[in-house]
Amino acid sequence: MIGGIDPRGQFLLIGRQLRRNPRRTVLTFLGLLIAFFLYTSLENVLGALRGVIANVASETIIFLAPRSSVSFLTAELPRRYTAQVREMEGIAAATPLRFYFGKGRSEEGFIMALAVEAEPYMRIYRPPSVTAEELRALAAEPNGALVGQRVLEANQWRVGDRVSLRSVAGLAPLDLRIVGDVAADDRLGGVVVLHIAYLDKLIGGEGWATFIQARVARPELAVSLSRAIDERFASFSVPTETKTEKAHTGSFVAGLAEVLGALRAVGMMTLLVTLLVVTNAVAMSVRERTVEIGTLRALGFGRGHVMGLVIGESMLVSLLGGVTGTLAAYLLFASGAIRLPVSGITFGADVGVLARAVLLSIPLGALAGLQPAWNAVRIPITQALRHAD
Amino acid sequence: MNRPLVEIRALRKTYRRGSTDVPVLENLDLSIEAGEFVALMGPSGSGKSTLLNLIAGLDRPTSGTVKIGGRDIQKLADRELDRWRNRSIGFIFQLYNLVPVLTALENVELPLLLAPIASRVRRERAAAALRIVGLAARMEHRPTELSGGEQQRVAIARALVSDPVLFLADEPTGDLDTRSADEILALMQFLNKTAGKTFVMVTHDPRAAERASRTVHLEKGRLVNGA
Repeated sequence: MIGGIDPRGQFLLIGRQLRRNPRRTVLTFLGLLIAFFLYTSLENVLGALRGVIANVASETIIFLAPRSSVSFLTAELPRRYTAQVREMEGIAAATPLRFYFGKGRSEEGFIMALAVEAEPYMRIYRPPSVTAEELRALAAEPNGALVGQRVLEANQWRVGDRVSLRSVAGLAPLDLRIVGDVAADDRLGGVVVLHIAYLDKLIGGEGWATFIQARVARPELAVSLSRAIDERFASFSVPTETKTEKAHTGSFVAGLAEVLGALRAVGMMTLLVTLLVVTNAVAMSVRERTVEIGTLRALGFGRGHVMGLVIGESMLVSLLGGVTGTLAAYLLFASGAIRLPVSGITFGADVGVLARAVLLSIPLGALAGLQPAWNAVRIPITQALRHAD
Repeated sequence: MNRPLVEIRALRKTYRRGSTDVPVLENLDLSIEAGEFVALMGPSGSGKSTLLNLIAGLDRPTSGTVKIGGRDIQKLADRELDRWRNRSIGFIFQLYNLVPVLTALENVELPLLLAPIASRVRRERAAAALRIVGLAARMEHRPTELSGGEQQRVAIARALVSDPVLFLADEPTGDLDTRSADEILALMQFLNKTAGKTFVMVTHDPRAAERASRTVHLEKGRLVNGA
């Protein structure tokens, strides 16, 4: 209730004013909807990436990468380092790792294939859903592959199928036999795991790796072993930079987060621009109603009442647009439709983000209505009434 | 002897235009008894509307006093003045000044939104006011769906609904055809005579002024007769 106006009447006045110029109201509403949709989406993505660092990455898996550059697209690390890493005390298993990016049946997105030495890789990380029989089949088939269920589903493949993976980089295609699958919610649920020897045979590059991945026996060894590994290879032709998976994923995500941070700033700018658009729309509406506002003042509505009505209108349209845009983004993310198939990161919907965005729409509306509301009551009543002449 | 409902003493109003003060009302004295129907006449720029605005508390005088029902409204703070206007004054404007997005009934309800009464009572009172002005069948119509005369009747109902002590009408028939103007004047006269309501009406129209019980002429901010 604003300063003594009956709440029902107040809501009636605010609601009816929004119907005065439906086109303007709808356009303002759509602007708000889009702005809040973008804002909520970006916040969800950032939240999911933070979640990956916090929950998914392991402290016992370490990555060796060339110190000079870290790229998924090149293989610049001598593969012979693997054997030396395996010999170090505290290392439980190690494998060289290369990547291959290709397309299957689906033309949407692309599939990330990890080429590894299967036996040590499965000692570093074995998905719980992979059976001993599947592991044996993988070991027995030179072109065998374990395929994540998300990839199977997207390409309508089944375990046992012989499938072809076409390179997106113009390399030779991979002809694989699917020997097993990995649960969709597993970290490997969105990738293909194959033998590095098979990849070497098809595209060359034997003797090189993109990363070397290893498991340390205990988490507390990760930092000291990483340092020891880097010291060992410091004078080699390719010095290494070793990080735990958590740090490694973190640096990857940090790079991505920088981009997303910039997008977040764009999202905030969108909200700011929308604030100005709403301010302008409310100001236009108020200008058109100068006589009406003068009449309300003559009938006894105080400055506070009129300001409350104008700000109320702005808050209502902002809340409606904010809730709709935020809910649309929330439902889209909750449906699981937004995910990065390559990294396996699924962007869920965060109720906290939803609540924050909805709550943000209220002060945004109030802020947008403030200046037009002040203008509405600043003009003397007699002058406002004369506006009709 | 009863005090007049409206007591105006030594009223002056000047407006500032650039660096000069332009006098609009000069040392004006006027008394209006409760139950009177006063027509304020005079040429354009004579100060009729300014006087009406000062009586309504829409503007503040440069000097002098305006007492309504014995109360010096100049001494009221802005909020008190708003509240007083809501309870004591009924406005009738030349162009009706209805809110186009509200129905006739909702327009009439407007002054009562500030009163501490239940919404059911508010609607009943607004409906009763519309019945008095002969618009029982048009309550749910928007202003654009009503004729000029009907819109002015809604405006009269809106002025009537809070049962004010004083009705102020600024050229209430100025935008109406002769027939509608007669109907509106007859309605105002009816409210004056049967309900004892006090009216102050600004008009240029001598035929409208004939309906009043007294006509006051203004020229160059001064009363020339009828005070």
